[in-house]
Amino acid sequence: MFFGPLIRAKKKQKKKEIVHELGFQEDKQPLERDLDRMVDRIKQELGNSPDVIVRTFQIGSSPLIQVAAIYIEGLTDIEKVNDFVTHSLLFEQKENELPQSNDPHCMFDVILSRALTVGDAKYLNDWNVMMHALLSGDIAVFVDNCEGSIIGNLRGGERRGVTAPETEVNIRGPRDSFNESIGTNVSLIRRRLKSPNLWLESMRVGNITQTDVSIMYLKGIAEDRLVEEVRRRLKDIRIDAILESGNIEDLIQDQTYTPFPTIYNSERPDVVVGNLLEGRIAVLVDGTPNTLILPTTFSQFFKAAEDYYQRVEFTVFMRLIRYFGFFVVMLLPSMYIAVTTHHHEMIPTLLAINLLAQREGVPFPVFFEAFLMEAAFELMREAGTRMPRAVGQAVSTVGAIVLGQAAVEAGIVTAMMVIVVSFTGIASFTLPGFTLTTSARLIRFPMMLAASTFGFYGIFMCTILIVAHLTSLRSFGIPYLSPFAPFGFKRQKDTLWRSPFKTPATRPGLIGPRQETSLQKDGVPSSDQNDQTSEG
Amino acid sequence: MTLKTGFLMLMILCMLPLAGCWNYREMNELAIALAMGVDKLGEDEYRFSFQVVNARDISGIKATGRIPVNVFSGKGRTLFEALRKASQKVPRRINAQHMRVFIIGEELAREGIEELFDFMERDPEPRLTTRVIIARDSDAETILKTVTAVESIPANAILGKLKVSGRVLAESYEVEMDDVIRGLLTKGGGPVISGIRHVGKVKSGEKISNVEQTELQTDLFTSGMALFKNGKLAGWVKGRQARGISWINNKVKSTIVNLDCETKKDALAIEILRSNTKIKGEVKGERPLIRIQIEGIGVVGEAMCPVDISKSAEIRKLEQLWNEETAHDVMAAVKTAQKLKTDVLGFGAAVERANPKAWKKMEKDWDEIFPTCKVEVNVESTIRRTGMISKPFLLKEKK
Repeated sequence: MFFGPLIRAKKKQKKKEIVHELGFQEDKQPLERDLDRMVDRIKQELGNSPDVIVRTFQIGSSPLIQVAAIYIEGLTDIEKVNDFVTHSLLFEQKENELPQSNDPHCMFDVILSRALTVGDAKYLNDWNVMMHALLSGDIAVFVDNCEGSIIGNLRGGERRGVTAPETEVNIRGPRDSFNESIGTNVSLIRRRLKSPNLWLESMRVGNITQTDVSIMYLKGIAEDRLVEEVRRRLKDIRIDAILESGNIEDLIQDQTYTPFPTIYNSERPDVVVGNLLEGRIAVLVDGTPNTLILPTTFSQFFKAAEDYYQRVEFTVFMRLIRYFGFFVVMLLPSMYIAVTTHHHEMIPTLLAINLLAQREGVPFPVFFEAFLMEAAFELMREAGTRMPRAVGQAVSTVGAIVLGQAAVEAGIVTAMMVIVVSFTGIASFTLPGFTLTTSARLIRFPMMLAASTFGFYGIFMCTILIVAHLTSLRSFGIPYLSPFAPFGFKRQKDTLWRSPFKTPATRPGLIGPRQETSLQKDGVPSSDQNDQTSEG
Repeated sequence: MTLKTGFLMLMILCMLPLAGCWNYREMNELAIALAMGVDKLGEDEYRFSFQVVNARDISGIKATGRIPVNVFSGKGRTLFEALRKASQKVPRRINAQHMRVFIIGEELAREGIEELFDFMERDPEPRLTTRVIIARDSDAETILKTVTAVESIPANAILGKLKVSGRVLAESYEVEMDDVIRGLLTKGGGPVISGIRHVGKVKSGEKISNVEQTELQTDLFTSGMALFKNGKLAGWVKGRQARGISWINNKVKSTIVNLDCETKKDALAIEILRSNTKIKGEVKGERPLIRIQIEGIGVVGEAMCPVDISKSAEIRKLEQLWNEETAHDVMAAVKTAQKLKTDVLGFGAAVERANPKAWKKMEKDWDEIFPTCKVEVNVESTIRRTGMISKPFLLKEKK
């Protein structure tokens, strides 16, 4: 019913694929039969790079068969190459007679079935696929006079381990986070969801980078049409490089120009699993710990993973604090400007006198003062993010002193303005989804301008515009403000407040009411969507 | 631009001229007048005075402690003209949004205050909740110029005195601008406005040195209430008469009623906790009958004589005495109002509520009928507690 916009949102095809020839050719090419020519061609194709390791040896006893194993240093686990390829082919086959065969494929079959001890190995006769496998860290084994190759998965090399999350910090709950390897990330999700309905689809995106991108969803819970739409949008991507999930987000989002993020991302496996269980889809990208979760609604950015681990009462309180924090970031500086320039009657008299005393001698108008301080704060924040760790302490100390004490003492800004700006700054760190805070930070500046020209009236008009924009936003066809607009009372169980788990829980539909209970008897979600099982 | 966004833009453009009256003004472009006062100067000329706060001298860590306020004034045949004339003396725009009290000089009050409130109601800046006070035996500017203690801003000091004494003593009560305007519309009556009096030498009150001693040379007291008739000050009431007015107008929040104790006069103090007054009118022939029903709840606050208040008979006796005292206050107030021929007590409204047809006939002659009204006072008091002690030592001493 809400999928209409999906069709409208279909991406326009990119102009001409000019850079296409730089990447891999799509058409299938068989491999060489002659081993030397094969090895030469690979070396030549990779520009004689010295990290391409070619190991040639002979196996069998009579006659000796010429074999070459090729892998790329650093991408492949060298110890495993020694154990499972060279050792198994060289030593264990000395005694055994390898059966001869003139059929080129048969030779590979014999090696695969009798000689090679690599677990994940398969026969392949396609130049492009072979090259991609090689560049992904697989090992390729070639046999002289045989067309084709054996690709063995011995990927390894240096990788960052699973560490505690750095941006989404919790007090209670799991401490693992995704890393840059897509395999690890998938396993972190699978480990938590031992369901046969957890389905994984992989594809390669990026003409040159050939980045591995996977979509994960729970079959039967995620809408099939939604999965199909995500798949279609990913396949439609025509671009050279995907370096981070942000690139994917930019390419598949419904609306390009909006200050609000319409796709959520997380580096926590428990957050991804929770969202999968609600029928959302995860898009994992190799090389980044940030996993995309879609479709996304506005209220998602106010939910921390911890909300589901802490007591309900506390969760509700914290959520309200976060919503308050969001409005503080967006509106507090502009409200202060409006009150002090247009609506003096709204300030309690004693506070008005206090503010007046502070304003005496301050050379700038309130708007400029606010703009100056907010800009200074943003500068400090940006400096804090970019600067080398070693000088961090010094910069933040100097910044705090300059912003606070010195500016007030010099009479350039009022103490009240410093309080307003610091309060705004602190409030901007309350949201667990960092991306929505950036929206509020951006909107703050036009808000301040509106407040200084039209007072509360201007703030009100800006707010109306923002709400109108928010209601027009869609994330994969789902209204961005749902379940606030369109409003659904039954879907409010996990928005401003969270119902305790003991209350009869129906799985929240993303767009409409879905009456399935999420606590089914065997704990396995049914793949039949119309199945209405009721929990006793 | 699509039709939709174009329409949205048009809507926003339409909204801009729809806004009410506001304007961009920095705080430090304003002279915040916390109190204003009006006096009459000769024929048809007003003096409009403003007590402007010196924010830097009283607030924040850099407060200099110099004089907290300055008083400026302007003259004109209208208040607005006087306000604009004052700009010749005040370097900033005078802002009335934070006006706490509006003071009217007695001389002007006797000549009539009706004209003043048009400006106050018409201009967007003054609030209609501003308290109105009559400067008793003096002009408004003298009151505004007096430096006060405890509350360094005189406007706040005046407001504080009015508020607190109104709540605990009930010999005056706060009257807001809209109350005054409503009072001016009363047929055959008028508003009741509390008064403030200047005590001491005028000149010494104008200096900060006035508050640099334990007992002020010059100070301001709330004093009595002014009864108006047709917009003109008709007379003052004070003390128990003023409290009677508060009783009748249901403005008593708390007060102290002294009762006689056996032989000793006024030796027992009752603190009123709650009180409620109802006025009912009844028309029998020419003279309307007004029934005033007062219900009060109080505690024994002090007993300077040996009285055994643990006995309920004694309590009943005290309640009876209290009823009489209250009725006495009320009757004193009624007599004064009837003598001044001004219905500040809301009797006309009571008659209208009871018998609208009869009121239609009486309305024209209410000035003459009001002094002849018969009044019946019925007080029902209850003593709830006797304080922290049940057996006072004075009683033991006697035995």
